[in-house]
Amino acid sequence: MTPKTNKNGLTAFLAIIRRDLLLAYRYRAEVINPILYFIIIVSLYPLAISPDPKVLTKIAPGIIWVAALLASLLSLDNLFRSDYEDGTLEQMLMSPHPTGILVLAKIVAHWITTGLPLLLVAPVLAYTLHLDPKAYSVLMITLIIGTPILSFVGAIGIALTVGLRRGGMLLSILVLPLFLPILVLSSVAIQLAASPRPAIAPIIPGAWFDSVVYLTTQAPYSAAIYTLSALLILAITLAPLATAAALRISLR
Amino acid sequence: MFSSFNFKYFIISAAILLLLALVYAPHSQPLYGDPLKTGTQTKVGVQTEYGLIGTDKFRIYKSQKLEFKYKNMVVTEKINTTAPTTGSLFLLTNWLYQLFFFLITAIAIGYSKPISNFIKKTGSLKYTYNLSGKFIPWIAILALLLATIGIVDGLAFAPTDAKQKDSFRIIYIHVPAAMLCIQAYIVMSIASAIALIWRIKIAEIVAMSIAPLGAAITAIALITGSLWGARTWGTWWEWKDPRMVSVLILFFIYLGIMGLNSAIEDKRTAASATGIFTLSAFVIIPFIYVSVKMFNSLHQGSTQVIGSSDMHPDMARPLIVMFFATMLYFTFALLIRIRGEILIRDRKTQWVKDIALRS
Repeated sequence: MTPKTNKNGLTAFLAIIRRDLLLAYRYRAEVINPILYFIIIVSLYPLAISPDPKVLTKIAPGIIWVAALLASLLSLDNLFRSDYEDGTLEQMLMSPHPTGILVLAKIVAHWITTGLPLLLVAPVLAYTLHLDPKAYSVLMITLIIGTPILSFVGAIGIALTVGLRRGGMLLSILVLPLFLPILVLSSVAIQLAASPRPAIAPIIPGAWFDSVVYLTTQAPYSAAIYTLSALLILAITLAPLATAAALRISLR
Repeated sequence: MFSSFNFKYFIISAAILLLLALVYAPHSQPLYGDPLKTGTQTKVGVQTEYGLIGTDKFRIYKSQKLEFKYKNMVVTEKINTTAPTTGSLFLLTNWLYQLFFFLITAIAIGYSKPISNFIKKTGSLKYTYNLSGKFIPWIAILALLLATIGIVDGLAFAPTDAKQKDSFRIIYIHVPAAMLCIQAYIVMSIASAIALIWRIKIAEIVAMSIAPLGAAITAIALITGSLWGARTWGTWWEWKDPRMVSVLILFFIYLGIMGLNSAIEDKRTAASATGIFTLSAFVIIPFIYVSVKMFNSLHQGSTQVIGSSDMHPDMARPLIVMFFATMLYFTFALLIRIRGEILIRDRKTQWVKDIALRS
């Protein structure tokens, strides 16, 4: 790196993302662990409840969302832990760049390494759980919108508990209630998409606008997706600031 | 890009978007609603019946029977409309009104000398301790008096409900508790914000003292609601009901705040950390308000008690009295907690030692 000070926030943002992705690439096991955890949790349900396809079809959205929620909760523990232990975090807080942007970069990098792989595995697991074919698109939409919210909201909790010795259980108690609305909205949206109802108008060149309008305003699950998107925007804007403030308190 | 980026406007626009989504979402299809409504449908017949006191639920003012034709099937559907005051537009105007009220109050406090002097004085823990000591007996007496009036009026003199008979009388405990558990959270958030921004000790103490009381009052709301539900809906607990679940989430959040507060040893650090969590978890409050409208719920919409009400005045009067009684009792319990906390914080100062020696 050149010694001249560069005050551009974007450079710092990209540098942190690059560093975290590089770290994740060097320690590949830490990227694979959450996915393995996700797959194992999902495979517990058919064994514990019932292998009957009818039952599984009904509970598949809930299973996938609960597993995604637990996987992202456990992987969150690595978000600030190693940086806290080797002192990088203190250096980050002392840098001239706004802490919110640095935290945003860390969360985005964390989502790329843990949230994105879940998105790739989820449809395969949904197939093994006999999810209704109509619901795949909504499952992916809710996961794309929902898992970043989990990362952002969880970051606040992990920043508050990073300095505590026994923070793990407390983190779950703090963060899981905040995850519940996201869980409810997502699984309700998927269930509604899977329920018997008039088929979605196929996307044909002449009437593509109609089908888009149907998907966004008329579909029974659109209310849930609206609310999820609004929550995502709110999380992206506010959660880094809250996380930065929480980190300053934890390192005080 | 980011250095010139104004976060303030971004945050404000995001908040407006969330508000819009929450207002708009109830107008699109209700979740858990009848999916057949989205298809091409022709109305065959509409029957509307109005009733002051509900046919199925506690307070349904309009009951419509709709017939749809869908793919050679005739679908009959009954739509019950609850009190119109729960409309999202009403909620929006109500929020704007409250915002306006807070703004006016803030400006008044900022400009008036006696009020700002009083607030400066309450920053001193000793002054607050002495002042609240003078108020506490009066608040207790008033709370007891109002509770007696409200309970006797509610149990003995309020008319019996047409549908629910006498089981509706639990409203006089349930509704004040349910209203208070949300308002306590709002007060706690405001106190946390003040504590975080201006680092005023008394605001920290207030925020930390509200959490256990809020948890207790939320538990009361949940238990009485469950008892009421057992009589009228035939179920103690229903996971499908958004109001119950969202209030349960609020209860968990209160417990989480208490857990975080006790996990950090330094009291001021604990208060700051708790404050940030309190403000982050504030997102749940609009959800509790909107939940009844957004999902099809067993829980009735809230009824407007004051003003153009569709509640019988003899039923509404004890409710208002009980609400004030509960609020006063909450204030009484809160002041006692605050006084205890003040003594613990200032235990090394001379005035606390004097009190300890006197007693």
